[in-house]
Amino acid sequence: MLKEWTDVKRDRKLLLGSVLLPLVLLPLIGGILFAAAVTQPPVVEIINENVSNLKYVNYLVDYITSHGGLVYVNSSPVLPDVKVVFPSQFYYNITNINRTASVEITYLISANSQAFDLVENGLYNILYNSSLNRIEQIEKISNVSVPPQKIRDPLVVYIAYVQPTGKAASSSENNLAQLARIVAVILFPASTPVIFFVTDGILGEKERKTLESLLASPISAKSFIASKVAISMLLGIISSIGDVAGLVVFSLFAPFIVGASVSFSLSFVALTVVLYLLMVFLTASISVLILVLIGGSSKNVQIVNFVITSFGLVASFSSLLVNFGNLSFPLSTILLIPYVQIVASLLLYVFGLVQESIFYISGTIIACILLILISSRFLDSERLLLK
Amino acid sequence: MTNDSFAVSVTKLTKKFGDKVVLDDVTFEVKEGEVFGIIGPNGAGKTTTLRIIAGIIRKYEGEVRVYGLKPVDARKVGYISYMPEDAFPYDNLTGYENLEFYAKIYSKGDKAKAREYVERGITIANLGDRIYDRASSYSRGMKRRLLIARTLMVKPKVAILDEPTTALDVESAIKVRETIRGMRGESTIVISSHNMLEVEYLCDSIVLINHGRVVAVGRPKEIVELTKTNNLEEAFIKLTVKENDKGLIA
Repeated sequence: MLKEWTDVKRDRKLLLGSVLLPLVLLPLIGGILFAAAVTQPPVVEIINENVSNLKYVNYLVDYITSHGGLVYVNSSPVLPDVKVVFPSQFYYNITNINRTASVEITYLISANSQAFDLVENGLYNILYNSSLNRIEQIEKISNVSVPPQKIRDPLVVYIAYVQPTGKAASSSENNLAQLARIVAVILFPASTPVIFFVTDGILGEKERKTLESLLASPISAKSFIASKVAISMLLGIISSIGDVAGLVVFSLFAPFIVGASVSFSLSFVALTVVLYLLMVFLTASISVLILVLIGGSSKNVQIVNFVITSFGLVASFSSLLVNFGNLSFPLSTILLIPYVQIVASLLLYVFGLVQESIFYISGTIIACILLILISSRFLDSERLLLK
Repeated sequence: MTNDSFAVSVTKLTKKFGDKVVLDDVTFEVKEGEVFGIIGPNGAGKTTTLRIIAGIIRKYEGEVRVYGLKPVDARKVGYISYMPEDAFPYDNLTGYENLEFYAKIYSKGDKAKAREYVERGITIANLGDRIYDRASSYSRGMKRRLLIARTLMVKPKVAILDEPTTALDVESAIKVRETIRGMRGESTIVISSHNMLEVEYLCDSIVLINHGRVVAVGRPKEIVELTKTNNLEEAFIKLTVKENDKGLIA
């Protein structure tokens, strides 16, 4: 292990390419995204064709600017994301109980959808208030005393959340559950550099002509495999710091993703770290097993990549689509697919099914250890060296 | 039948890669403490034989014993130290660290023994202060000396050196040969080589393999006499190029 670490430490290309690059690149991408959000606010241009419309135009301007948007009235120095036209007849139509007002919206197809959402929400508020005014007018005409609110909103919906256990949940717990699905999707891609570290650890020795001597030494198969897995995990953890930094930056966007602010609890963060390590451990264990079973050629590395990526994709998609809180046969068999247990344990935890979560974590740890023991048992130096 | 009194005994060894027979009924013995040469043309099966003795290739027909043990077991207990033909040291480690790494493997946690191995390795490598430089800065000859030192420093019962002087300049080759010769008696050394002068100079006994079959076994001088040639090189040509596969057992 010490030799592996010294060897890796001095391999600048490996460090730069595989460890430092994601360390710099991912936070950089996150930073660019953040900067883009800050420096590229939604831009709305409002064309007002009649000064009488001003009350409504000003309302929309206030609404958009108070939600972080930029508004230009009647002339925009930049190409706006959304252009709203209040026609000359707008005021007349909106204030007349028997007429329908209209506005025209032109949407730039390359624009962020946030601008459109802001305009739509602002216009909805105008529509809402106008309909209340019209109800008040009808109330006066008909001499019937009815609160306009009761006519406008005859149905009130109360939303409550519940865990699969039946225990009540809060809306923030629901938001966390939604966000956890996205975190589960990110877990697998973040662990993929480990495939390279494991295959390079074994094939690199073969290419650099150091493997044969090592295989003829008294080093045990277990030590050989354990050292490769351990150094791969260490490198994977180091390279994942960038991913974690990216995740932090990503969390800044959580409100845009789940529609509300989400705070990560310490236990959620700790569990995410544990599951990431488990993902790395599983990736290393599967990579070593495949290489040991089919031999250490560069073509076989592609097979390793293909197999692991396929499993990982299944897990990522299942985290988005499957309700792990209520799995029944035959869908429950997906839990036999590597990586699916890991995303399931994250989701089960946020769903309040802590015991089930611990069960899948423990099961995956045992499976990883078994994979390493099987790899040690079937390590065939001839196959590794000559195939 | 094998004789456990030999350092290495190979009996009716046959190895196939797919349908291709690489070694066919190969039998020879290596006495303890001698330098034993395995010679033959390219593709004769020398490296495969060495890999089997080193415990790397485990599937074969026949019987191979290293001090009475199967090669894979002999490897596990540290009886064997092997330098492949195209081996390289770890370039990112210094010469010293390369020696230290293998010393730790062979000493199995005995720090004093590991230190002793490293000191011995430094002496055998004879690289002076360059031993503390990274192996990537070494010449081919220096790397080869480091590898030979790494192989021999652990005092293996059987040291296996595949083409130890390949691609070396004259001066480096001489140094390597002197090192191997200096180890005579301390370990049983099995080498393969294309250089007949080198084999004649270094080896107490040899086996000549051609097309996977043994065509001659014995002391170099005896083989020269039996083939009625002037030297081992001529004997080699007589026994291989002229395809005299009848065999000679001296």
